[in-house]
Amino acid sequence: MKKIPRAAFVGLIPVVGCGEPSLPEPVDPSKLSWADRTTVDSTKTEAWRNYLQAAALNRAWSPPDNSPWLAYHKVSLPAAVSMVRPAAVPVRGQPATLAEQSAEAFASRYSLENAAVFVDLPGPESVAWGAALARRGATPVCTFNNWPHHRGILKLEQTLGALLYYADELSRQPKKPTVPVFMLELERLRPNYTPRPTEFDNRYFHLQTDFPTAADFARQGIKTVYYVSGQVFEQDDLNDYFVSLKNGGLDFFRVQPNGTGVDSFTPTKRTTIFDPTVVHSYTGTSRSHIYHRHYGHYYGFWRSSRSTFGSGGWVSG
Amino acid sequence: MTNAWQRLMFDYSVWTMYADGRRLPMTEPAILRAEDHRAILTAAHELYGILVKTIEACRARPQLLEYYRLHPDLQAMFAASRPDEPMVARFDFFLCDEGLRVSEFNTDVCGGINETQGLYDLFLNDSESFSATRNLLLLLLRNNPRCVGFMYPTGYSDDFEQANFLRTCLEKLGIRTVYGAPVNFEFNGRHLTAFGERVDMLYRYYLADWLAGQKTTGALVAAYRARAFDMITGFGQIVCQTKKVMAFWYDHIGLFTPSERRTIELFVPRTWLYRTLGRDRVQSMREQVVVKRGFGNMGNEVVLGPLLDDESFAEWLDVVDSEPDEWVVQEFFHVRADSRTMFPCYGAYMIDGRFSGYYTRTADEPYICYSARVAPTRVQP
Repeated sequence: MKKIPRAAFVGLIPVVGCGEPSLPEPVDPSKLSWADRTTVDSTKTEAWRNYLQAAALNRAWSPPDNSPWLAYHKVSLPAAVSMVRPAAVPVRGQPATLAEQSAEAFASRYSLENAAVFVDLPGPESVAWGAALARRGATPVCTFNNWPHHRGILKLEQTLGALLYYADELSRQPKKPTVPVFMLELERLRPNYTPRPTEFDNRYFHLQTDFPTAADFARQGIKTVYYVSGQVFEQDDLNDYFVSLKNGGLDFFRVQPNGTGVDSFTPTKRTTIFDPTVVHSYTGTSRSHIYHRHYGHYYGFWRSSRSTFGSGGWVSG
Repeated sequence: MTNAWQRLMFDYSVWTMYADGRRLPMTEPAILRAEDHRAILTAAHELYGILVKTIEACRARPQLLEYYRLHPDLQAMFAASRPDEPMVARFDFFLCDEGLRVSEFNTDVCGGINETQGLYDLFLNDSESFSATRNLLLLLLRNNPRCVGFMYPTGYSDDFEQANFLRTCLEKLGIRTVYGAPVNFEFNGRHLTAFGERVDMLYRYYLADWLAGQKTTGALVAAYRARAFDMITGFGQIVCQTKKVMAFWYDHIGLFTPSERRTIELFVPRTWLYRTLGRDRVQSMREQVVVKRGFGNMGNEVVLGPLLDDESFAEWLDVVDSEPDEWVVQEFFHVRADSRTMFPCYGAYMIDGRFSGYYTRTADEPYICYSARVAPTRVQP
């Protein structure tokens, strides 16, 4: 006969699905990195306090229900605000201020018509770009896909703080289907790093199904991709995807983080940290139909020892 | 977005709402005829018994384990397993032209609980038909743990969804929780700890197969062997999680009673180890078979012979041939479409031997993969 705590048995049913996560003691919000914290948000008020619930913060940043980009909006990071609520504050540093100015400079020079923008900068700067381009009518799309942790390898609380900084402003803007601005976290891969037992591995990577296909873009009249990045190549997890967009007829332009230098470029297949990969996909359809987190991808990434996602490494290889 | 959808996202941690641009959860229930429900219920209980018997047989006669050709770490995990490990499983059933068929047993990392619970609560207003959450929580609490650890692949927030939902439920009951990746769980010779917190019960939402070969696995297995913590799910079910179990049954049919044999032959498609058939024979069987990786999941690494031409099938056998010990070959079955002309898969939760509700996925094609939609299930009276 198993021992079942009577009190727990009685109390189980009411706890299911009755509210947002409570605060787990092992994650201490006060120990998160709230550098560049501020007391007021982009509206110069404390309205950010209205967005400390996951649903409220998500509503502020979510594309409208009729937006073709809603399906690509990740709720993981907005969901985390409930977890860190006691210490959560808006974050606004000098780099984000400059990023906002850069985005405005870019938008004043280049048309966003028929364009999709991918901003691959440190999280708070990507958010600043998203908010600035939203003022020009674009739709920011959150792609941040992990949680902050006080022992986290990535300081995603900084990005979360940036979302809070603009939440009230975003929520006041009219929600209508427009061109997308995908906000990415530059540090998400942090390759060549093996986590220690005392570190929480909140790195992540994107898969092709995290973003619209070339056909999806074509249906919305998108013909151009602007990739905002200070790097020579697109990050490794975007390589296959960008090549597929290029093959689908989209034109690519790299935008310097200062928003002024814009150059045409052609994504080409290259060796990445995800190679070599035995691509096992669901073969009832075709080999190009890639399962969004197939074994080969995961396994290859781990075996390469370039990332372990918390495994602490391998006995060999 | 309505309040119910918001609640599904944030009260039930369903963050992955879309795939291929389409919303995955469905509010309209899948309708299951009462007679089909009864047939699934009977099959699920009988198959559960056969799985338990298989684990016991492999534990009692280690030479049987050799059939599986498991990674040494998986062998060590199985050796550390305990006879009293409860199983948290989901059996995936299809209604087919050939009758009721089971395609796999999810006994290791059994998902879908949070979203199904949310769909029943929010859209069916039915708190009776789905008991998987409650039964799983009872298992996690059965030895009065002070702290429950949640181990999951921390790079995948979608794997955190179910763990976070259960974690939240436990915290509301006053149970401490801690979560992390395998590297975060350490054994100090007496206790398992994570971030300095002693863990009494580990909810392992991290595939045993993925643990194989990792530096930290030896310590975890040693701690489990030393009974430093309890674990859901235990390591005994490794021999059930792999689809090799179905080949095992046909190759060891003498282990089972006549009644058990009948159950196997009635519900389990004929299955072979790839290595025993060999490439040429499998190629010649293309139109009748599916080739599956033993530890594949979510419909991944499933090669459907009848849907491919000879050339494409041969290309895939190149991949299979690179690790022939890992794959099985199974008779293809013809899934029947439902009234919505979709192809449903009825996942029956079996938690510690008790039927605990359905996780039903439906797809436009007669197989289930990541883009299948999820629906609550209503049994037609």
